[in-house]
Amino acid sequence: MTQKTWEKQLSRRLKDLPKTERKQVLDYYREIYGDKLEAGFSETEILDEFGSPEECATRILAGEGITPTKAERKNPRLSPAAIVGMFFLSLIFILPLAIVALSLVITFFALTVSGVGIALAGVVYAIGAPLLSIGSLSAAGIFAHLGFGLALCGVGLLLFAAFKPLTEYVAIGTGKTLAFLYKGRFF
Amino acid sequence: MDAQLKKGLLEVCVLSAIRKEESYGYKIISDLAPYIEISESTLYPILRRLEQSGAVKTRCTEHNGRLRRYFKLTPTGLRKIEEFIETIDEFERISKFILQGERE
Repeated sequence: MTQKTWEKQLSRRLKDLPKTERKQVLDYYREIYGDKLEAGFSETEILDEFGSPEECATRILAGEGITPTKAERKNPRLSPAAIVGMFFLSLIFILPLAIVALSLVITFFALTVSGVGIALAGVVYAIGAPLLSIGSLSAAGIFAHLGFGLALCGVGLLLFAAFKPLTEYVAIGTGKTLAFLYKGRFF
Repeated sequence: MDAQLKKGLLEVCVLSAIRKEESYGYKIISDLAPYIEISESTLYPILRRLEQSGAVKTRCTEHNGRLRRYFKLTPTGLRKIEEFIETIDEFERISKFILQGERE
């Protein structure tokens, strides 16, 4: 962690303090940080000694008589109205998007599976068709069948190669997005 | 050490650290470090409390292009130190009593 991020995190955890007081706290740490740098300590050493922004915020807030839990709570308790509002918001916006994403995942997955099917069919055709027609076809005919089968197999493999990663990206991406959107919102 | 006791001791320690001359955050911590455990996050609330109770006065000056806040002892702060010194005798008598119980 850099000093900048450390400070940002501390500031966020001190949001319950009035603006001037919060600035005073940040100035205080910045001053000591500067003094320690001058004394020859490294950024990592100094931040290690400061401790995590959470710990510092807890101590500072406790000193100000503010219950740290209030400021530390990541997911402020929502009012019933806000929960109902968010429910409808997700019904209107997020749900349709989730359905679209899910359909995409299913489509891509189906295409991946069909790619495997086509490739297998190509192999079977390339081997089976010439075997079945031995005697009734010229050498050129047999090679034509063989070629068609291999081409089919190639198309199948291409489909598989293209849609397997796509399926994974979309599925994982959707999952992560939804998890982010709903992280602790309703629980 | 008991938290309440330490809190009281730390206040007097900080006041003593600025008794001779005004001082600033990092120097106070460095000066106290050999005697009592104190972190930046512990010092801040103490300084604020002392300032609010009028035991210290502060001023900001520039140092190497950045701000540094100096803390200076006030007469109220000095009285606090003296009050503590007066209670040391009492402490000694009490600790003698406690240690006696330990030996018996």
